[in-house]
Amino acid sequence: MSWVGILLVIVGLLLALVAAAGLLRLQDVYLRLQAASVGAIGVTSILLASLGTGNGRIIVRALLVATFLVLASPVSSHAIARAAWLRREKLGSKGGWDETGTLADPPP
Amino acid sequence: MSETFLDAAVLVLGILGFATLRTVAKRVDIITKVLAVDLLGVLLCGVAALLGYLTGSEHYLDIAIVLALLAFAGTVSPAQVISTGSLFGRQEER
Repeated sequence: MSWVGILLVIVGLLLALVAAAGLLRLQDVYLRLQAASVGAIGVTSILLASLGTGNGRIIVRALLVATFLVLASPVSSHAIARAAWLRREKLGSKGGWDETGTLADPPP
Repeated sequence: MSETFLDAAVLVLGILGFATLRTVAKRVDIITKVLAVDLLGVLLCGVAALLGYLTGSEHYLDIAIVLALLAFAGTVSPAQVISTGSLFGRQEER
């Protein structure tokens, strides 16, 4: 595996670490949603690291999976955010407010 | 050197997957559970891709394709059920 592949795998592992840590540690459903979206970007970086293997079959399949992840991750994030907003999940972060005015606290 | 590196990468992604699985088991919030299942599917997709690079076989990437499709379906359908009450039903009035 060439140095491009190793670099992309390292970047992807760091982004996946950020995603898992954010899912464990953040206060709010909406903040955790953003952290979990970072994980899809990290796995896309790991899939792009297939360019370092030099095997044509692996590269074609990995680029197919990467394209699907890039297209599908915003859709699923939007579906989860809409479900959370319809359930009126509370905002847990300190300075945040909902501009639609349905979730609770007005701006300070 | 490269094989050792890929082994370590698979190990790191596996540990992150176990942390995510623990989130699924311990949280009571349903939306956080759905989020964690989504992240778990995506991480397993990355594990399958790394195993494919490690062995040089393209069949692991087929597993990655199926896992990505299942993670998408397994995220959108619970979100739809949570928000509207049924999978194919009409949108609720707020």
